[in-house]
This record gives sequence, structure tokens and C-alpha cells, in this order.
Amino acid sequence: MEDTKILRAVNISKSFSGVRVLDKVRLEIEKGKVHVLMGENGAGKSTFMNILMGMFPPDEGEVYIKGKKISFTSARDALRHGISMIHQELLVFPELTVAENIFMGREPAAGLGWIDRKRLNREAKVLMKQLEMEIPITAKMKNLSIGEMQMVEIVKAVSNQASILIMDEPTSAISEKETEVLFRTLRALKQQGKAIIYISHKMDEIFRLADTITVLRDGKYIATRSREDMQMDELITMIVGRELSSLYNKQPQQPGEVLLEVKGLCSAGVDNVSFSLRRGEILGIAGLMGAGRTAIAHAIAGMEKVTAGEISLRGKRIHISSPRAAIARGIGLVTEDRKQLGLVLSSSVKQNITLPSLKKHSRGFLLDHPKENTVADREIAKFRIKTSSRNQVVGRLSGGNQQKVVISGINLNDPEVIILDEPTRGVDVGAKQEIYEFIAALVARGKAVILISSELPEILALSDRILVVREGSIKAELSREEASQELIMKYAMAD
Amino acid sequence: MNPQILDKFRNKRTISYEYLRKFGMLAAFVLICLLLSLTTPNFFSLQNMTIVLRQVSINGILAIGVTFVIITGGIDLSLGSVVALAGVVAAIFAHPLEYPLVVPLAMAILVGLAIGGLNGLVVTRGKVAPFIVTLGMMTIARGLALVASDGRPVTNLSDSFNAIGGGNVLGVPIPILIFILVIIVASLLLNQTRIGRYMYAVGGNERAAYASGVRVNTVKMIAYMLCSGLAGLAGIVLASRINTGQPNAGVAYELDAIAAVVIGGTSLAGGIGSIGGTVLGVLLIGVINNGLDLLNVSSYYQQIIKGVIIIAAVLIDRKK
Repeated sequence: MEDTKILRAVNISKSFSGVRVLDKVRLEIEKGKVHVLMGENGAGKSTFMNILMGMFPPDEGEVYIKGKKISFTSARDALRHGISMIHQELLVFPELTVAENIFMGREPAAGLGWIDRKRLNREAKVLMKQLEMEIPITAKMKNLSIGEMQMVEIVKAVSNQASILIMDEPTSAISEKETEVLFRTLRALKQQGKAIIYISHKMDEIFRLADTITVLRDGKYIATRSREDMQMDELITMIVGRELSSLYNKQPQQPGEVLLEVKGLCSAGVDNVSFSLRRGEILGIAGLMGAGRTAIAHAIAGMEKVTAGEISLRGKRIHISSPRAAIARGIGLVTEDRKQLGLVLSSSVKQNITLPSLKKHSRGFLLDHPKENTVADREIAKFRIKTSSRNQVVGRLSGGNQQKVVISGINLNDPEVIILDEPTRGVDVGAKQEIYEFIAALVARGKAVILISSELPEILALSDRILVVREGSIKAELSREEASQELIMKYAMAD
Repeated sequence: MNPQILDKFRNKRTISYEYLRKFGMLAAFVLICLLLSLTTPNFFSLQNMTIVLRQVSINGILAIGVTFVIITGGIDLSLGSVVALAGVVAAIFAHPLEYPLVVPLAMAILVGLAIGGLNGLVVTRGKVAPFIVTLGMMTIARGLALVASDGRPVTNLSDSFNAIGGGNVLGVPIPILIFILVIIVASLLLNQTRIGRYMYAVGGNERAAYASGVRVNTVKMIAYMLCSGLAGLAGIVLASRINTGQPNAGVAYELDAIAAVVIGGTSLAGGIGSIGGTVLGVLLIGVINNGLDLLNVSSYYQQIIKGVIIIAAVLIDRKK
């Protein structure tokens, strides 16, 4: 049965700057089947797919297509071998028509470099018909919905003689109706004998679509099963099954008075969210990427406009129109995206540490350089920030040390409520430990913490309560005792 | 090679580039001065130095103003037109025996501040790219200058007004004194005040500055107003030196100012730069113009040489 295995990847390994992100991963893809690839954020799915797409070579391992060993050196190579990827962020030419997008770079010629527009449109129409699509081929790309653009990308891939289609979370940005159309198309593609690698977090989809499921975790291959042999609970355990490390040793706190109360909060990506937060409490917010965790944080910290609902601090209703207002009221946000929102990378460590609280370290309009230097040196020592000096450009520090600069800066305003959005992402173990100690010290001083994290062990170990967010609203509130990785994943993925 | 050694190596490289950036231009400046003093008899004379400084003072004032805007990540193309408008407005109020001297001065600077305020408003509230806004303002201000002067030079100005551009204090031309004063105040503002620090933050990463509680729009407004206000001041100096409110004056002055800022190591992307660098850029352009004049190089070639220097300066800036 050699010929049904269209793609075989064997023992693929890849390291980035000494960190092994893929460790002997394997995958076998069959013609006419949908193969779902699952794993948490950071499990190595994207790296793996990028290797199959020829974006970079693996350190070890081989890829066989139709039994023949190949080594790609570029995305063009992968295309020539019939591998096409529909990216999460679509790469389209918005001002061109559907037909022009489909044949980009391969336009039927009419001599002298002219494009044979009639043939272009005719062939595009034929392709559309084959996949039972009803998108007008002369429409401009920019006038289509995201779902329709996706369809055009699929048609383009098929017309490119793709025999293997990789789809990265295709339903994350399209409506339910469009999802149905997509699934119908995928079935049509299966009929034509195309192989599909489908990456998704959505359980219902996976069980509807998949013929085979492969799970990756922490860059390692865990298992491949056919859908019939897979139970949902078992699948979740495979995805999350990590051991708790000794990193976490949280002292239980006696929560105090209610500090922050959120009622019916609505904002971009936030739908009717209510919760309360007490002094000395760590409230975990779990959920998948894009589920609305960051959107909630941004609404509370003034980064996004609140469209409905109320926020109260110490029983008093407050209006937060900007991050400035949030800081003034004692709400601090340590952002998930430190390069975009957390740091001025071209400025020094000192300037970044003191930026949010600069007024405190000045005399009127004038800067107080000696005082600012003292504060910066104290913070660098306190957070053990590894830097050659306070005047070092912050962009040169490692991820962990950059993160400590961000946290220190927010903390200098002495906020009552501190929101930490993925505080340990891209941070090494040592710095992680120090960030945990910092969080523990905060709540010991009676501050309140909201902890957003994709790392379930971290959130389970640190939080007193956990909210699970999906599609912008809270799907479950779990106490420390009842919470488990399986339970969180269940609520995060489906009802 | 182990990563630590690699890192060290890399740091060393960056440091040498930083030295190049910081002191390369200074070294080039010293070298050019040295060459000119060897090849021309008059270059290092006190008289010639005074001439150079007086020639660069207007471009210097403009360049310092636009340094603020560029550090916040913006650009201002309307400077030359503001110089003309402010000069015309000053001249209108500077006829002999009409108003006290303070009136033309205040009016010119107020006009500058108003134009800067408009630029800032459209950039911050309207979210229009600074390039477009100030390009539009370049034409508007020029048109206003022509309207206010009826398209004719405004002449017959008071002696006290003319003294600003032509007079001396203790043997030093007043434009040079104004330039030095502007350098001092601008350096203090950028290095010693919170607003200066915020300008770097806004230019370095606008969203991070906003998230840190910086009033981003206010900071930008102040930068544009400072810039145009200083252009107003430059307009006064120019009108007074040529004893005329000339509505066609100052064409392309903004480009010389921006060139000086860029040569001085200020990043057009924002967040990086200094007044000292800009002053050096201004002096470098001035010395080269002067030197080529002394060497009897035609002004056609001068333009080519100036262009080459601008591009070379940015090339060095890129290598970081």
C-alpha cells in the first residue's frame, strides 16, 4: 500500500538557539484523508509545518513524498512537490480580481506579455465549478469575506496542482455558515484524492472532519490514532499531559475584601464578562489564544474602549478611558506583547523602568536624574535584571530580563490590581521562578493579581480561582480544588 | 563557537559601530575643518568663522525645531513656508513708528505656534500621516504668506527690527546669539524635562508609551508647536536680515534642516537623536558650503557633494 502514503516525515528535529522545539517528530499522510494535527500553543506545530513548507531545513530527519526522499530549500520547492499551505493570515492581493489572484504569477499569456483575460476568467470559472463554489470570479478580492478569500486560496492551491493542503486554523476567523461551506469543500477535495493536514483547537470540528489525529506536545510526537479509536477525554490528556514541576510552591492566602468588581463588561472581543477579585487573591484566566483573555485585560486596563458594563474599584464605580486613567486608579497591566506594548526598545533599561512612573521621580517638569538613577539601580538589583548597566539599550536584553524590566516599571506605580498577561512567555526557567516569587510577594502584601496564561500547570499552581474564557465570555469558574488541566481544556474547547 | 563568545563578539561589533555613529561625524567634521584650514588661507580666521556661524544660524534654528518632531517619529515639511509666513507677518507689524518691537516678534512666533498646532491636531486627532499633513501645510502657509503680503515683498521696516538680523552684541552677530540660546534651551528641554523623555518614548514605541500612561497626543502636539514656533523665530531673523518680509523666501529650507538632523544621527524612524548631533550636522553642512566657496568650487558641484554627504551619513547610521 506504498502509494496511499503521499507524505512521510521521519524523525524530524529542530532547535532554535539551543532550545529543541521539535524532537524526532513523525507524520504519515494518506491520499484522500484529513489528518488533524493537535497540540497546545508552543507544541511545535507551526515549526513542523514550516519545515514541510520549506521555510527552513530540519536539523535531523527526512521527508519523503510518494516514497521519494526530498529536501526542500524554499517554499517554491515545496510548492513544486505539491505542498500548499493556507495561512491563518491570508496573503491576497486585495485590489485584483478573484481570477487574477488564483492565477497570480501563472497568468495565461496572449503573447507580448499581455494577459489572455478571457482564458483567465474561463479557467477560473471551471475551477470554481469543480469545487462547487459560487464566488464571482471578476469580483475584487477586497470585497470578499474572509471565508470567501480562504476559498479562493484553496482554489489557487488546487490549480497549482497541490496534492497536500495544509490548513492552519482555517475556521478561527469565519462564520458558522462559512465553516459549513469550507467543510463541504474539504470533502470535495478528499473525493479528488487530495491529502489535507488540518490544524485546529476546536474539538467539535476535529471529530467531524478528521480521519486521523496526530498529537504533538512540547515538540515531541505523542501519538497518531484514527478518529474511531480516539475519545475526547483521552485526546485532551494527550494534549496537556505535562507534569507539574517544583517551580510552583504557592502559600495559600486568606483573601480579603473585594477590590475589583466587573459586571457585564463588553468591549472588542469581550462579551458580557462579570467577575470579582479580592485582596490577596490570584485570579487565573485560562483559554486558548484569541479566546478573549487579552481583550478582557485590555478593557480593564484602558487599552480598549469599554462599550457596556461597569468596573468598580473598592465598591466605587470607575470609568477607565485610557491606560493613563487605569494607572492613576491603581490598575497596572503587564502586557503579553512586550515588544509592541511593553517596552521602548531603543531606550535604556533605566528609561524603561521609570517611564510609567516618571512623574514620581521628577521635580515638577524637570527630571531628577540622581533620584531616577537610584531607583533604576535599586530595581535592577531587586529583580536581578542582568544588564551591563542601567544605560544599556533594553532591546539587547534577553526575553526574561526584558520581562522583568516591564514588570518592574508597572510595579513602581504600586498598583492595587496588577494584571499579568502571559508573564512567563519566552522566559527561561530561572526568570520564571523569580516572576512567581514576585507574584507571591504581591499578594502577600494584599494586592490583587489577575494572571493570564496559556501554561496550564502555571495557572493551576498559582491561581486561587480560575476563569475559563472562550469566544469572549466566561464559560466556567473553577475553584482551586476542582480545577484540572482536563477540565480547563474541556471548557476552553467546547461546552 | 559557544554562544557566550559569540555574544561577546557581537557586542564588540555593535560598540564599535556606536562609536562610529557617535564620533564618526565629529571626526569627519574635524578632518574637513583641518583640510580646509590647510588648503585655504582664510578658513580659520575669526572673521570667516563668524560668517559661517551666521550663515548657519537660520538653518540651525529650523533643524533644532524639526529634531523634536523627528524624535517623536514625525516629520515637518512646512518649515520653509512657515519661515516666509512668519517673516511677512513680522514685517507687516514692523513698519517704523507703528508698534513696539515686541508686537512683530510675538505675532510671528504666534503664527508659527498656530501652524504647528494645526499640524499636530490633524496628525494626532485626524490620524493623517505627518508627511501628508505637513506637505499640505507647506502649500497652505506659502499661500497665506502670499495673501498677507499681496504677493509683494513687505519693506520699510524699523531700524530696531532690522537690528535683529544685522546687529551685534559685544561683536557677536545677534543671529548667532539666538542660535546658541536655542541650542541651550532645546538641550535642556530634551534632556532635563519629562516632556523631553516622553518625546523619545513616543518616537521609540508609541503604543508602549501610551500603555505606560504617556499622553501621546499632547507630546506630539508640543513637538509640532515647538518646531513651527522655532520656524517663526527663524522667519523673524531672516526678514530682519534682508530687511524685507519676503513671501517667496525660505523655499526648501525644510530639506536643509532635515538633512542636518539626519547627518546628526537622529533616526527618521523616531526615538533616537540629540540636539548635539543636529548642531554638528548644521555645522558640517555650513563648513562644507563655506569651504567649497573658498575653494571656488561651483555651486553646482556643492549641491552634489551635499547630497553625497547626506546619503553617506545615513549609510553609517544603518550599519548598527
